Amino acid sequence: MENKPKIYNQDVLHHYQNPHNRGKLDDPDFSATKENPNCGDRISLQLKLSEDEISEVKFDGHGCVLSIGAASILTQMAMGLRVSEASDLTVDDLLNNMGNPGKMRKDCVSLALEVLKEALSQSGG
Amino acid sequence: MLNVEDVKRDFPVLKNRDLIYLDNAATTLTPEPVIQSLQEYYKKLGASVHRGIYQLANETTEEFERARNSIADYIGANSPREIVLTKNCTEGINVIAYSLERWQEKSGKVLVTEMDHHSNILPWRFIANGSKKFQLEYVEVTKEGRLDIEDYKRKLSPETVAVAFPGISNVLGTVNPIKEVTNLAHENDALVILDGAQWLPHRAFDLSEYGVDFLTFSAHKMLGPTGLGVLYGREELLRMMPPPFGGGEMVLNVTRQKVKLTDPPQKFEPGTPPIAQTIAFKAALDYLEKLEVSQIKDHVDNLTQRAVNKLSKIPYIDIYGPKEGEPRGGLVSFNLEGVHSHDLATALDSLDNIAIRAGLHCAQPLHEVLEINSSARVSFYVYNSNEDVDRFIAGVKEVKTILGGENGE
Ligand SMILES: Cc1ncc(COP(=O)(O)O)c(C=O)c1O
Repeated sequence: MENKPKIYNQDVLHHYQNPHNRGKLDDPDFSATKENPNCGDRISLQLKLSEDEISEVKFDGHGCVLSIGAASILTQMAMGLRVSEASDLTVDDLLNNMGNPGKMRKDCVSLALEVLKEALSQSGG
Repeated sequence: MLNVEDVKRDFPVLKNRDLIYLDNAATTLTPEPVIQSLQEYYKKLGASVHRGIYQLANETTEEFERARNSIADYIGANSPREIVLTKNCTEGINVIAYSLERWQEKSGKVLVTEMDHHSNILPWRFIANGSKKFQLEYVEVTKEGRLDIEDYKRKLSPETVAVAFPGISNVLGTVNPIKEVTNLAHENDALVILDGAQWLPHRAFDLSEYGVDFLTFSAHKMLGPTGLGVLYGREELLRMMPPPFGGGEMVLNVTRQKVKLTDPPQKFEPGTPPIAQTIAFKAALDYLEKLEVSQIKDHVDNLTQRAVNKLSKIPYIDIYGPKEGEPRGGLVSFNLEGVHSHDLATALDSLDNIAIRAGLHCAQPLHEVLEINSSARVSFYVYNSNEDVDRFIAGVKEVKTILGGENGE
């Protein structure tokens, strides 16, 4: 259908099928987990800081193409950012990096971002 | 046999959109006579009911009460006084739960089932949490997706206050043995609340046959308008029970100190009721009766069995609930290995304009029992055809090849 946004572009699908930074850190500084009550998707995220910068980040969990794709892309975006910069990331930033899959399933996309923000909030950032 | 092409023509949405609508267990589309009834109400009637002493108000009240009579007849109630109009099925269950908590002298267990919709779990759970009187227990679901009657018998006792359960599960499609559950409850002096949301749309229901004490359902799942639910209660019970909400139109007499309540059903309907919706729901019931409820059931059964049959032939699909050939409400929940239900739903929508449901269907405890994170669901109604089922099946296979990794065909 021409008038519907392409939710599954090849890039997002690729991230879903081969997620980056998936797994667990041995000794994380901060971590958080969240669930989307509508669909049962669950993402947890762990990170390490070096000085004020995110030096390592990994995520795990289960979910749809968009929530896993978003988590994979988000971890790439977050790596190397200062805590304040990462805390300022918005859903629109993430959507832009995902080739704008449309807003119909924004909740799926924002799950990973919310988890990241929760983990960062523990750092006092 | 239903003539689906004729039926389809009565549904403007199907003319206005290129759509295969398979989410009927959530809500149904609206036929022309119901739309016309809503329009006529706003064009020709429109006063508030029960209050006015002028012609327009009288006519509106008459139409409104005529609709209540039709609802009573449709389910075989003894009197329209047993029909309380609510906002939806959920509100009906809440009214019963809050009222029982205030009125029942008996203390003890309230039984719900693991296959209940949140609508029939949370009202009871909220009340049990705040109350020393009621405790909540779940009757288990067997591996085959049936209500575990042995577990029910074990949990049921003379201390059971009430048993609340769905006629048909909105996820499994299981058709519950209403009579058996009801009789066992009554032997223990427990009240029976039947959640009829998934039963009423395509099955006949006669209260004199099943003998439940309360029944709730929603108009919008059976071609009626949104914003209207029905709560049936046995008249003697409704007379004794206190209303959980207060407001206008429910009182005979109010002084600053004393209140004298009206009789049911108005006692449970404070404020201006959903007048247009109630009148239009009569048009929906007339439409269903014109199609004939037994024909509707056969039609929906055929579509459902066709879907079960075709889905079960696909190796990478898990189906939940009754096996092929066993009684089933008009729905099938399933999962595609390696594909999240949300992705399936989004892809079917964007590739083929097929609308299906995905997620937890407001039944998270059941998904916990099934040990799955979510499921996809198709559900059928009068305007669906065999071709709709077949296009859905073809769509599922297509999505699997696009999204499904190594299991793709
Ligand atoms: C079994 C069951 N009970 C209750 C409800 C609640 O209906 P409503 O949302 O109209 O109150 C539904 C609808 O989703 C249902 O399927």
